[in-house]
Amino acid sequence: MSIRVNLLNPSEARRQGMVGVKFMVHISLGTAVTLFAFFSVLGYMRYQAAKRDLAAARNIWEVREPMYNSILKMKEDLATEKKFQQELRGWQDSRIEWKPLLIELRNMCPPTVQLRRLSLRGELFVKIQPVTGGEAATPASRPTGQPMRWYSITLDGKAWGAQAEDVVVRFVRTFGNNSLFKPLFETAPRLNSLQREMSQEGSEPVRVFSIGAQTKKREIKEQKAPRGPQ
Amino acid sequence: MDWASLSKEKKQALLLIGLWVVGGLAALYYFVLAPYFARRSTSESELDSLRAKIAQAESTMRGEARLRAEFALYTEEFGNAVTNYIVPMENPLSWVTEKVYANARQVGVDVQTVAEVGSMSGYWEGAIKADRTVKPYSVRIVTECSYQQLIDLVEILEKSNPALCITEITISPQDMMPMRHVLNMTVEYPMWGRKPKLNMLETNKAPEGG
Repeated sequence: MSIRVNLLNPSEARRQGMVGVKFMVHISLGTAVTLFAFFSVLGYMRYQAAKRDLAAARNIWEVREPMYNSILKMKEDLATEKKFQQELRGWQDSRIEWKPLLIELRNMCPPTVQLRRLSLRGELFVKIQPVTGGEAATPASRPTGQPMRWYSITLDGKAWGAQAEDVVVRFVRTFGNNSLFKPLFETAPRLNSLQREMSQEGSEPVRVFSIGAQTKKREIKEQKAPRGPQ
Repeated sequence: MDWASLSKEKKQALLLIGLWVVGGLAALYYFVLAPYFARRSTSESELDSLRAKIAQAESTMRGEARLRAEFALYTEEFGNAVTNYIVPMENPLSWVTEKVYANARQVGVDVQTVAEVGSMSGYWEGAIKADRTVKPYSVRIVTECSYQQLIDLVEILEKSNPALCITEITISPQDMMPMRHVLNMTVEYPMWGRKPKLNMLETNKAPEGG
């Protein structure tokens, strides 16, 4: 039986590892300080570089900003002007150009017919658009309709001759089938009245007539501008 | 180093050193490192934001020449429309009367009356508040003329203003003068409901001039 006796005071005992505690502490502290210093210098250099870049970027922005703002304003104005042009085009497209129609009316009138009174009366009408569930919160100021125009045309005249009635009926048909008028009409023109003129007696029979027609409704919408990229 | 074997003064000295180290590290963090990181972070985020803005500005300015050309074209059209087609809010009848008489004179028609027709529907008030800029302004024109003069008058009115709309024409005969008819015509002009707001100084003046 062997007895092992340690006579060393624990405070006097040396560590038996490869490196001493003191060395490990020094190395650890040294490494920590070196790494800290290294990353601090690196961070500082990055910070300085960022500061330089920032100063350069600020200089560039100082020059660019007024130009950029001016372009943004120009774009905004352009959008307003385009919208305005579209609105005017909507007005333009809703109208009927009467000049060719008036000429055509004169040309199609038979020689035995005299137009006594011509009335073209336009009406403005707002087509109420259906409100869907998602639009329930539409502000009160927002219009919910689409403005439209339509015209009622009335021609009053006289027809002479033995077959004046036939002439008038043919005239109504010609009026309804005319290539300029036909696309405008909602329905074919109607003969509203045809009667003998009371004051005329004896000589040639005279018939007074009235023809009525109604055009299709034309929307006053905001048309898309035909040119100019956004 | 055995803590237990240290004297009381040494322990106190070591504790004090420990407190100084911790305090020093805290002070280093709060007074040096934290502001430094904050500055660095602010600078970097500002730099990123500026770079993004510059890139966006450069991309926007790339099409500047085309934009300017388009803007010039639309501004000219806008100015022309403002001057010639849109009835101003101030003294509208005077503006319209001047146009009507000038047009009628060109085709030899002697206009007897130009009078305002009040027919504003509630729809337009709402539409102006919402998105439209113009509303109708109607005048009644009364004159005596031949059918050919009516055609000429209609033509010149429609040509002079593409947005103008003739909403009513009534031609009645005169027994004593079969070639001269009494003409009642209602003409609808677009009138400013609200002037569009423009940023650019030159064009901003345009609606005021109308």
